[in-house]
Amino acid sequence: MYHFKLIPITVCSFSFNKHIQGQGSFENPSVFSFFLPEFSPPGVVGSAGLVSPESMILSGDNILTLLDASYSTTKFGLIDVGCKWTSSSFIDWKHYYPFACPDTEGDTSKSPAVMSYASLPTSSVDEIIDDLDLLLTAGRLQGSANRAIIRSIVEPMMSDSVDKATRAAQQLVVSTPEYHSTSLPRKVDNPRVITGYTEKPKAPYKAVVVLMLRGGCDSWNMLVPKGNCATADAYQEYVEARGIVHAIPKNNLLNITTTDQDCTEFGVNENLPIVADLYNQNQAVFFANTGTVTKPITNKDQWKQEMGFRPFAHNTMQEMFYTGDPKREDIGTGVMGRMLDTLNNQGLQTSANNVNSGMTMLSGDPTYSNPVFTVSTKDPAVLNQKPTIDNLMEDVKVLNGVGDVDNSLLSEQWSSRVASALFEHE
Amino acid sequence: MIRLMHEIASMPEFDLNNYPESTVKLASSFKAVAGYMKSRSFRKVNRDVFVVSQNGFDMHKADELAESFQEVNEALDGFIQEIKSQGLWESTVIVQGSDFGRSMNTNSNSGTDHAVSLFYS
Repeated sequence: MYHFKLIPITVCSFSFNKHIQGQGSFENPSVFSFFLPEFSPPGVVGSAGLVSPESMILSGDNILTLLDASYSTTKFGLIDVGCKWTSSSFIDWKHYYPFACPDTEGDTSKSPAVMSYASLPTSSVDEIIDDLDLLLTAGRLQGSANRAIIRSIVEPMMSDSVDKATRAAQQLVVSTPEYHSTSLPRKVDNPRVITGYTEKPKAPYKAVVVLMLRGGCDSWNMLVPKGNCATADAYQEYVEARGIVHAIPKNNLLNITTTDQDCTEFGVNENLPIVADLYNQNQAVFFANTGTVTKPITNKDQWKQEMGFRPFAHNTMQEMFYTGDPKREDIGTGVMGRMLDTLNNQGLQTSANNVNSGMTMLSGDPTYSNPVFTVSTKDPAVLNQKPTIDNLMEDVKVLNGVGDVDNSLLSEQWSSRVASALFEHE
Repeated sequence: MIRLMHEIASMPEFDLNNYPESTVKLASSFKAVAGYMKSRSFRKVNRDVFVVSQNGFDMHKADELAESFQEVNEALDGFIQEIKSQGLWESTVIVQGSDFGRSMNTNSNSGTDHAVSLFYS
């Protein structure tokens, strides 16, 4: 479809860069790559007890970037996402090739790659849509409500410019759940309604901020027994057990004291002075020896059989931290999601906000359908510049409208994420 | 409508101009959280939960705990200063956790391996 004159290793329109879109070549975040096999997203897939690993990257930011990049490619060929010139993967390349933002919709002259594919010359709106349906959605649009919606938008544009109408059809097709999942969506045409709170909250504000240290933090060197111990010299035992490589010298530990423990003097890692200071101001507390073992076990080899999960695996134990549910009594929910459900049911105006990797922890019970929002660490972008279709995002909401009860799960998952991404954005 | 979030972010009451400068990536996550907390009355929310995560604690080889803790410390320090200035410190709980602890003894790569902090309760 494309003939590349000069191809960079990253295609800038799509900025295959995990910081922008959730995935990138050679940028897998851990040995588990981008998707955890057991990831169960909030929403219909999670509440059906199923997993959907790829849903891990369906954050609001990623969805909007993906859609915007698709629209940009259609309109301008390969340029920067939204023409903001902020994509780090593209900036170096830009220096070797004189790039500028196109001024008009449909101007591909600034793109280093030439679009050489063209469908058969036609002036029939049905042929254009059928051609795209065959190429992009394997015929799934045939006879669907979304096809009728696309046709109704594209048809009036045909008399003006067939090329522009074709670009409009391309952008609409790549916005559909038919394009983003391989099953047949069943939906009605009403946009999904997601509303924020309308009333000012009555009770004062409170917040919980969770910081997850992924990988297994060396807690032995975060909090160290130091002195004044009742039963034995715990610091000496610590030094013997950890050896010279990992034992922290007493002088490098920040002092804290306690009561009702075997030792009254402990030390905090010198690189965490804020934690030691807060503890000394009675503003912080340590929970040691806590975890999710469901029954007393002494034989290491029996852990998996007896408890039903692997206590040494990162993915399992991160899930345990996020869900606090080792017996899997409330599948698909996280500890914070359940807490927010309860608070919400008591009339408090709650909000679950994911910065990164927190979807599992923030998912509530599907009965209450409390959304999980994405906190963007990037500057909010302006979507769909120099549009082919004015108010395209309103059409995208209709294309991803309310699902029927028998909607396919993956279509429902995609469409509900699109709706909440647009809601967060607005 | 689509630009609304952008416009909100540039309103003076939501600026975080006094937020401490930092090159630590985790600090930008906490700065985003502080921005959301500042927008609480606009969002009409009175119970917020945020989840932030930091990779890189799986230290099978070199012990890079010092660098990792320094980043955590810098990010927390900036965040706490900000929410204190917003008057939210007494209304905020920060919870820090991890997958599991690590082995007491050193492995052959001068690192530590996975251990359990799985005490029956």
